[in-house]
This record gives sequence, C-alpha cells and structure tokens, in this order.
Amino acid sequence: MAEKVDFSSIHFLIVDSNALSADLARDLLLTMGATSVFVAHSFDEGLGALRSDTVDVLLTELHLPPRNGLDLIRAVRDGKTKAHKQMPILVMSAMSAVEHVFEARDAGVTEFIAKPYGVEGFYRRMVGIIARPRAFVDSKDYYGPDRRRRQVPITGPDRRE
Amino acid sequence: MTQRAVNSTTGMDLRLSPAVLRRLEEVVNESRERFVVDLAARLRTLRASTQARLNGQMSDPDLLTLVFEESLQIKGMGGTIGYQVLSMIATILNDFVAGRQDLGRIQFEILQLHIDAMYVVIADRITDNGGILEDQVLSGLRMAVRKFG
Repeated sequence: MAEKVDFSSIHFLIVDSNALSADLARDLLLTMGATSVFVAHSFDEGLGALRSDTVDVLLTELHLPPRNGLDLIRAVRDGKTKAHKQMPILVMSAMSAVEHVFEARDAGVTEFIAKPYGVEGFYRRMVGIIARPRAFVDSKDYYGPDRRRRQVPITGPDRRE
Repeated sequence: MTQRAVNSTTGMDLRLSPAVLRRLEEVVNESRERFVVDLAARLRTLRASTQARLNGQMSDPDLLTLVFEESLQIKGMGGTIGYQVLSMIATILNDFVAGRQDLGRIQFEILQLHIDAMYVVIADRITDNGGILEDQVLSGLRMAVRKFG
C-alpha cells in the first residue's frame, strides 16, 4: 500500500518577517492537512516559540533583520531550544545566491527552497523532509543532516576507509 | 516524528496528485490580490524614496538599504503569485544594490529604471515570463548593470 504523510500530527513553526509570505506558507500547510501551524514574524518571536512550544518542523526565512535565520538554525542544532536537535528545517528565502545556500547548508539546514517558489516544489520538500529524513552527521565541525546529495566515486588517498 | 506521520491510510500521498495540486494553486490564487496590493505599496515607497533622495532628504546609504530590503521582498513575492518578470527585475536590482555604498548619476538612473519597469509590470498585470518586449527590457537592464554597476 502506498505511503502517506499525515500532516495533522506535526507541529509547524514558520518564521518570516514578511506577513504575506508567512500566511501563504501557513495556508498551504493547512491545505495539506496540517492543524498546528504557528507563525512568528521576527527572529526573537521565532526563538521564543522554539524555546517554549512544541515544534516538530521549522520553516524559516534567512533574512530576518536585524538578525539572521542562520542563528535560528544554529540555535536548534546546538540544542539551545526545546526543539529536537535533529528536527527538519526548511529554509524558504529570497536570499538564494550560492553563498547563502552554502551557509544555510553548513549551519545544518535540511532543505532550501528559493523564493519565489512554486507549490509543487513546496509540497515535494515538505513531504521529503518528513517521510525521507536524512542521516545526521555529528562531528567536531558540523552537526546536521548529511550534506552529501550524490554518490561520487572517490579513489586515491582521500577516500574514507 | 516520521513514525508518527507516515502511514498507509491517512494523509497526503508522497507524490503530488492533480487534485491536491489544484487545491494548492487555489490557495495561491486567493492570496494573489493581497500580494499585488502589497507589491504596489512597496513600489510606491521606492518611488517616494528616490524622489526624497533627489530632494536631498535621503542619503545614498539609506536609499540603498531600503532598495535592498524592498527588492528582496519583491523578488520573493512576485513569482510566487505568477509575476515572474517582476521577480526577475527585482533580482537584478537587488544584485545591483547589494554591497553598494553610494550612487552616481548613472547608477541612480539605473535604479529608477528598475522601479519604473516594475511599476509597468504591476500596472499592466504582466504575468509569467512576459513576452518579447519584457525579454528586451530585462536584457537592457542587465546590460546597464553590467556596464555601470
């Protein structure tokens, strides 16, 4: 039998200073069956929710002036919130240049969707981060989902044993 | 959480069905008018700010900070509701002002051209990727940025 994702059993937190964008993401999640979606419009509000409420999945913008969404991601991964350190984190941001994507990846984000985004991409990522969780890496320099997306054959001295 | 949410009886299919896609697109359509009103307000703010700069009431750094912020928001919002051309112009403008500290006469005119072009897109409700004319406008803006950016 085909697998399904029951969004009604998951608590979502959306952090976006753009109220319309946040509302749209919330409405899309509600249409997908979610029943618990909290919206925060600032870094501080988002951090407060992560420290006091039950949150299973975080959706955040990177551009949260005067702060940065990366700090929110790091707070989760460093265990400075009440949320599970391995919670799925989706970045939805118009700051989509390669350097921003790499920064988000290295901060421990699970998925990145560049604004403007389409509903198909949004759905695919939401389903993916819940139904297909990625293995976590816990090393001296990095804590987060495995950043490798492709199997690249490596030969020579740098190959891991 | 995966164990709690993934099952074989209730919820959404892993693959997006046409029926769910239609429902999600309806959600976006319902937001469209609110987005357009908000985008128009942002463009009015940008135009008023360029006028303030011309009148000596606004400094270059303040104008550039505002343009960076608003163009980033416009970039993120436009294409979401089908105004891809608007997002493309906003992207060029955002890249143009990012990290910039001051504006010469030509750079200021380039900035104004972007704002005027976005005004036309909203006023004429030019959705999707536009047509030949929009292509030419985008090429012109990119060329101006490349030459004088």
